[in-house]
Amino acid sequence: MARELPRNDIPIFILAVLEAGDAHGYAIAREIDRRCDGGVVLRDGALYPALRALEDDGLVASEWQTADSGGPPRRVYRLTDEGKLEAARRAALWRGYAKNVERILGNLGGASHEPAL
Amino acid sequence: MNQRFDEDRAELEAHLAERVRAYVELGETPEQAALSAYEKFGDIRSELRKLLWRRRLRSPFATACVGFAVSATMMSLVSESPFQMALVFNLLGFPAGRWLRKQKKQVSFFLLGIFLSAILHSLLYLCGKISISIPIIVFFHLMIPYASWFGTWTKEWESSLLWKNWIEREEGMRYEIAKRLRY
Repeated sequence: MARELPRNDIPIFILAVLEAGDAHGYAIAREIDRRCDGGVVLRDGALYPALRALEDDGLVASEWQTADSGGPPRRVYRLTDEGKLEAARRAALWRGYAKNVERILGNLGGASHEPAL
Repeated sequence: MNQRFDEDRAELEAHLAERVRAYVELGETPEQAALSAYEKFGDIRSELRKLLWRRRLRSPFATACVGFAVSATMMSLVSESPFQMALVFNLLGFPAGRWLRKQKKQVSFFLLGIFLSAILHSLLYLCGKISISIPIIVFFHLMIPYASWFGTWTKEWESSLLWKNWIEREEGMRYEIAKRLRY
């Protein structure tokens, strides 16, 4: 059964998606879903408080853009320079954390990718 | 504030409309798609409320109140002229308040109790009834453990005013989305 993505983990997912290019809220949610491939569930609504928090911290900037197809205007988000640095910093922290968890788990469940300590 | 609120709502509605369209493309009926989109989205009212409160708590006015509250209360405990000292130390309380709010969202409600006690204390001090203010400060400080309840109550009260017509509007929106996609 897919696990719901904890709210505290959402900002790094957003930063990771925006690293690849500017996107509006729905596109970010869709991309997270695509990358997770059903492994975790993102409640779309939880995305927006996280986006506002990133915006308030100056890591993400947004502007309203009119769609070329004539659809309703959308708020498009992009990473700021500070956001790019922060994304790299958080990614390194996450990778380090994941590696340590992997080490601690060791051979538990018979699926170790890293040697046990 | 209203403009930002309307922008938030427009953004969330556009998101929902796209999600509904995606489910329809996957073969769901418009009604099923609307339900699925709402299920995937979560509680819209609650998310919009979070966005609204986030803005409020980060407003310069709230920051000033927090800074004043902290400094006024601290000074009232150590100084003979708390009101004047509070104004001076507000310069220190201002960044302290910002930092506190960044750490924990609920801290603003916690500080609201202190803010009220500081105001009352300052007023009573100016009226020359300083001794009366001490039990009031104690009372508000005792209220701190109930701050989270107070915060919830304030939110509910505030949102009941703000969201008076929202339930009907949300129902209307669901109907509109389904209707628009029907043809």
